[in-house]
Amino acid sequence: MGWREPASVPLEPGENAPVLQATGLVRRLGSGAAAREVLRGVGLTLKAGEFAALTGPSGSGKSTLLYLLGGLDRPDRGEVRIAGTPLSAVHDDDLARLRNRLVGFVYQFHFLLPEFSALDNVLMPLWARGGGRSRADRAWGKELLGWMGLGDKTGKLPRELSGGEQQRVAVARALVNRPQLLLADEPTGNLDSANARMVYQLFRRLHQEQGQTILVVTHDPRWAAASDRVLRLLDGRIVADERRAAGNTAGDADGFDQGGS
Amino acid sequence: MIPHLAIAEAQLRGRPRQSAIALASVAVGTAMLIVTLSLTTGLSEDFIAKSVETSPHVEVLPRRPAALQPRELRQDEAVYALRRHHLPDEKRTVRPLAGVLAQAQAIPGVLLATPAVEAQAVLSFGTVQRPVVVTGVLPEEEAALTVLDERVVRGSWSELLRTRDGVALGGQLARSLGVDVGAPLQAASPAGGLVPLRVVAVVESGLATVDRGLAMVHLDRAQALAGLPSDQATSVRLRLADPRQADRVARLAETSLGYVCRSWQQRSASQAEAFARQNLITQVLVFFTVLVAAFGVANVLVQLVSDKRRDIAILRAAGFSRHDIGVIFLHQGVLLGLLGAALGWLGGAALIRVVARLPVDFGEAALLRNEHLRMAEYPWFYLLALAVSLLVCALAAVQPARRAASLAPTEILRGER
Repeated sequence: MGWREPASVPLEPGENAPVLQATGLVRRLGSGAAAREVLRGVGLTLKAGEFAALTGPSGSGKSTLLYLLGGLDRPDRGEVRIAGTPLSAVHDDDLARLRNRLVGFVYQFHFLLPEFSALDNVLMPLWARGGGRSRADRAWGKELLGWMGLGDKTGKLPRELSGGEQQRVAVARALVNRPQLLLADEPTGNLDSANARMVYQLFRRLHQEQGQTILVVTHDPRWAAASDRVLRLLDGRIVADERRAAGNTAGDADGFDQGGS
Repeated sequence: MIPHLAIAEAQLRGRPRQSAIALASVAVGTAMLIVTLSLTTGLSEDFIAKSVETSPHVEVLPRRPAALQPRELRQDEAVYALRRHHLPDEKRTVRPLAGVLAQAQAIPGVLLATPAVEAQAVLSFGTVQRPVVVTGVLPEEEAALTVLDERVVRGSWSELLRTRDGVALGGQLARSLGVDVGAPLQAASPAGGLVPLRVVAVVESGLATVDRGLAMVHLDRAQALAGLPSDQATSVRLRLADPRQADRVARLAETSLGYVCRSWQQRSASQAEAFARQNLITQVLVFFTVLVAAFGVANVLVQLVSDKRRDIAILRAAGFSRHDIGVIFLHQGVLLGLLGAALGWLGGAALIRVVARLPVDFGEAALLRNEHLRMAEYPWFYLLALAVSLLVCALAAVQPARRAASLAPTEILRGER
């Protein structure tokens, strides 16, 4: 594994330094009479190396919160700090760069560019900052795909891959910039049980072997049960924040950790 | 380097049919622009070439140049009233002929100076009568002055040299009189002259003014019709080593001879201007064809932007800035313009060659007559067409690119559920 810490980290990533810090997040969606407050003052802190899950019923604002945390969207009130940098102080285009450098995103739908090979899709975030062409970058992309069990499919187009394979390509893409923070929006949402387990185990390995900080929005009770920390969102507020002992394996019989990595 | 172009190209490839249609419309617009430039330029050049070869490069006219008129007469508006009448000093002929010819011959750049007499007359063949301007020349010198002798389609120019009362007629004029070689004509002038003539040559030059109006006789016959003595002419015609110098030589001749001198450019200025205006109108119309192609490009790009909303969101989430997204879609416009123009080049070059082979008939009324269209071809047609289509396609891409750049990724990601 050629996993390295990012070269340019604006803040000393101490053992328990917060990678992500959100305070008083309010977000309204829609306009006029249809406007509603999706988030009503959400605060949370994620320390380096945490493996957390964010759960809640549909419409509770999970995805909206995740977009705010990852700098894809801006809050109406409140502040998000990633690695100590307050996002409100960052201009849109700089925000794109900061997101590119510090945050990896995985979506429920694999969202690959259909015209590009698996490897090119993985390298896309590097392209965004003008890289991704060097031999070292391509080797790194292939290594990530190999790690995802796709070492023999780097040249395939997305339509030539199964749903599970596409989702693993998307995970590799989220990791290509060696982000401090990995955010995932229901990464197993439309995968069958076997593929869902495989994606979970990938995340777990990332966490265990690399100390990757991970926050996953999920509906899947198995994923939530297997996480070290579970945040519960209801009607735009965090109503529960449970922590379990690290390396918790107390899942049910169908749990992800059964016979895990 | 951010691979905007590679992404733009891949996205166009991903929509092969729409891209092909956009390319085709740009190609057609570009080809039309090239062919029209070729056609209009070709017509103008043909007109100029025919004007130059069928008439003298410079004519010395029987008028005093303004510069030689008494200075005080040119001061105020009273000049108009005076000029309408003959100034005391005005001459209606060029004279003495031998002196003027010798002087003109001495002007640098002049190869030949030869006299001509134009006389109003009515040509009659039996009961058919046609008013014409009969031009008297020295036929052997006229052969050196213009190419009229080479444009004889029936009879011969040498027959005109031999026949003292011979006349060379323009083709259309001969047809309207209903005469051919050998026919006897009568020429009657308002001055009372009556001269018998015989048709010895029929000329078809392709230039309407010549073919409708040419009635060329020996100098002394025209002098008889006009009632002029043999040492006077109504003009002296100059042939130059370089026809493009006609304006300059005309100015030179004016000062040295003391007569108004008119170059072929001045003589055909109004027609040349009409051509230029017509060309401009045609080119503006063709520009609209290119504009329509631009709408096609804009349409495809707008379509592409809405089809690619998801991809745009992915790129934005992956760290591409709004600016990057806009640049990608601008590149698509430029790519379509560039490839479309390249196809248009091939199409235009092929069309020029096809059109040049088409037989055409402009009819008797046309200013110019040819069996084929004269197509011109210069590199600047192609460069101009490329520049126009690139510019227009880039402009067409601006609005879609802006839209793409302004899409909010989260709304798209949310909307996908």
